[in-house]
Amino acid sequence: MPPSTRLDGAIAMTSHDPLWLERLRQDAKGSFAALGWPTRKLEEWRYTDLGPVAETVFEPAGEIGASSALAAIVADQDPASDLAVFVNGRFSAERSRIGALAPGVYLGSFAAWSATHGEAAEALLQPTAERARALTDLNIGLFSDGLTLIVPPGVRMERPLRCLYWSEAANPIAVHSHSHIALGERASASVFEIWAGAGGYWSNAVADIVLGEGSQLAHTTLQNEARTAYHTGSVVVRLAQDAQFDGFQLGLGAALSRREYRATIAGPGADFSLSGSTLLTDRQDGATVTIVDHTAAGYTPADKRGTTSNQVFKVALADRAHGVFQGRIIVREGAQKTDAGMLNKTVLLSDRAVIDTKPELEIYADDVKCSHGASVGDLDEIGLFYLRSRGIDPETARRMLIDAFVTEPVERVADPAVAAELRAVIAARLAEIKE
Amino acid sequence: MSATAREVVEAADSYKYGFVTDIESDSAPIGLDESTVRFISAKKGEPEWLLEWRLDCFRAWLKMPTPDWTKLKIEPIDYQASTYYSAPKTTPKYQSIDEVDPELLKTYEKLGIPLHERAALAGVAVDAVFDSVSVATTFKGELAKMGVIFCSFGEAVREHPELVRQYLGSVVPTTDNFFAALNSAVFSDGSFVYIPKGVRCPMELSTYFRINAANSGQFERTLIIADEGSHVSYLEGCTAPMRDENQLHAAVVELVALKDAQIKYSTVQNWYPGDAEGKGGIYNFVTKRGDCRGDNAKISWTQVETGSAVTWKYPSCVLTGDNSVGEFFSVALTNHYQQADTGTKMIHIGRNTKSTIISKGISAGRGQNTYRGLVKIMPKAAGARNTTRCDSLLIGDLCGAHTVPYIDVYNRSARVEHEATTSKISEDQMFYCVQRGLSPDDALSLIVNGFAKEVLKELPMEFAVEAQKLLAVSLEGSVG
Repeated sequence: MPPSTRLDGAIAMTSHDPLWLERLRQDAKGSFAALGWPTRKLEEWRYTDLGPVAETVFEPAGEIGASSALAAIVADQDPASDLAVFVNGRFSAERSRIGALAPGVYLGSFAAWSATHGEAAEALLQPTAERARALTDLNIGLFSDGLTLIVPPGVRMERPLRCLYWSEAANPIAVHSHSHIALGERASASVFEIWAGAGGYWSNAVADIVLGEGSQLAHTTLQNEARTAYHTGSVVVRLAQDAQFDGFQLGLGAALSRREYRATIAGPGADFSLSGSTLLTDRQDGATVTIVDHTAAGYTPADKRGTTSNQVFKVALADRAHGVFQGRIIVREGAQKTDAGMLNKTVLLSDRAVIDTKPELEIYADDVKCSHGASVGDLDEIGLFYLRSRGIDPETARRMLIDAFVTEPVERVADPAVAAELRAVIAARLAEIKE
Repeated sequence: MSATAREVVEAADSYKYGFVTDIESDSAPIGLDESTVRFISAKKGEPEWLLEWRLDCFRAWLKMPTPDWTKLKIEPIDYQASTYYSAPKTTPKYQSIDEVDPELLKTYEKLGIPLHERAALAGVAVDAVFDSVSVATTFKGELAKMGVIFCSFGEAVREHPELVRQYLGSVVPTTDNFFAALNSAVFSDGSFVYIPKGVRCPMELSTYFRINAANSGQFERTLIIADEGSHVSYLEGCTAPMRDENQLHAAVVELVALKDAQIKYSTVQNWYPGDAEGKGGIYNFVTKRGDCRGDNAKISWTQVETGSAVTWKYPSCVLTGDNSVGEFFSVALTNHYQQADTGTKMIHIGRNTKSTIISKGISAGRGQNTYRGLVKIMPKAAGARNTTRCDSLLIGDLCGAHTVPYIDVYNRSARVEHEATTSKISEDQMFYCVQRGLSPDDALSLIVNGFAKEVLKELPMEFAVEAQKLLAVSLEGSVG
């Protein structure tokens, strides 16, 4: 079915939107209809076949009743954090737990925020060259809600924030959530996103992150969607001078997933760090795509500092899993003193697992330091031998090495509670992997 | 203008090999349709099957889109605007060098390859392709004694049709890509090499390609077959006279290495790169591929690419046989407005196959240099191993260096490693050399040659010397 007819059912859902949003949605839907679903003919989609998503007929997401699985996971969340819960793409105030906020901080529903801050929301949702195309258009055309976190200049968020995005439905639903995080000058915040759910659904998320001068954001994502679900996510980050983005992503869930990060590093001294682990099994298909753009504005002869970025991604694939890493570093003409690094390591734990990796450099300035590395192979035989020589049985030795491999990037997660939780989820997943 | 600046301008203005030899061409009419293909085939007295093969390729080519996946910026090429065949007017078979047209010999003199001397002194058999038709072949007798066939492609079609028919298009399928299909339809001539079982070819084989007649693209076809247990080293070097219009060049090279055979293929490419403003220059679209068809076979590509306005070239290895080895060593240099999109593909099919890729890209002026490579480990390639190193050197802040590696692994026992770095020539290095009395140009040449040494040392000796000089000449005036 052509995309345009598929969208008609959903238009009624959003018809109570303000006029400016209605217009933006129409344009976005028109753009998606013109572009169609991304296919493997597009370089950025070279290794991910979105066919299963395109062929499924999704119903618009609705409310859910009492969900014991959701109740359990909500109860499980760290009590010291603020908690924002989204169910099928809508903010659930009764399940969320948000303490007193500093003056000027907005933390809550994107829909509620955009209703009162129409001008800011309208500016934010305008098409830009930086964001992704078809799926972001579809998201803007159809999104129901999402997170908004606005931190005014100089404010440091006291408590870390957790966002739980839960999706659940009997019949396949499409959940489009749109989030916005904006930190003012020297503001700081720590956000931990958890994607989970039950049943068959497609979660298509877009996040716009704007980091003001000298601000710091720790942004950790746990993608642990139901194994029957599809997940596509696009995180667009813009960093001003001296801003820091410290990102981490753990990919475990979904039958088919693809998450992309698009960073524009626009101010001198700004730093973008992103690392992650992916652990897939069965017939899971998971892709991570990064586009890190060091723009010329990052370097001014007056302020001789350039911009920096650093990426480390580890991928472990069992059974018939298919993993993808497509990383791209762009250094624009004039973006001198850029220091950019990217590393992707993969272990294949079965004879039928497949990895496609493409770490790409595109450099138009000369006074830069850029490097990338990639390696693919089985577990390190010397490591195995060492453990065996210490009397550890082969099965345990392999598990220890896999655990160490996948867990190592978690070291970069600053929040100890989050790091501990990630290690626990990895251990639980490893326990169910058959080699 | 200072003395140095004047020298720089003069160096940039004078392309050493830029001259036109005045020989009347026996050319095909401008344009390309089936009659052009028939004209070429008839002109070369080809058998019916080859004409049919060409026509099939031509029909397939008509349906193919021009590739647009590279980072190259190219004005659309009008394929109807050039001639597809030109031969020097007199093409007799010379028995000795004295019979060769003196005009032709003068051209070789100017290019610095006195044919007879070079052949005698260096022990190199030269099958010189002058505007698509072979005019002289030396050392043929000596090679024939060992059963080695080294001749022009046209001759091979006449005298060894069974070999040509068996292997032509078997490595690069006719519809492999746009330019390979075009070449298959209109190829003019080229070289053919067959090394029989167990023979180690006693000398380096080399062919010099020259583009001479105005507006004629050159479409060589090279086919090298190394039978079981044989060994051959083949050299290819190119220079072309100065042109205003962009010239199209689309070659196809096919290598077949059977069981235990080894082929080493070295290239120094120095076609006219266009002037300092990016006007003119050769468009070089080459499809080179080798197939290690038997166990323990080895194919090694070494290339030094300093010329052409546009280079589009990915010498590849298909490692079919168990334990077969593929190698790719490359130095690509772009200056002024040159663009290069080059790299390799290593397809591991057999067990315990090994490949090594070392690529050195040098960008200066407004040059854009892209390494694009694929390493693919197929499910049955147990124990496959690949190491890739891509280094880029940037000279000046208006050039670009890009790395686009694709790594697809379908076998867990494979080990694949990829590393890439980008850096500029450090001021410390330059300062050190200059304060020791080297001119900036000499210092640059020294540093660049050091950067490229890993690759240059893979070249046969006489080529290594030429290549070092080329790098220096190509970079003149880039710093200072």
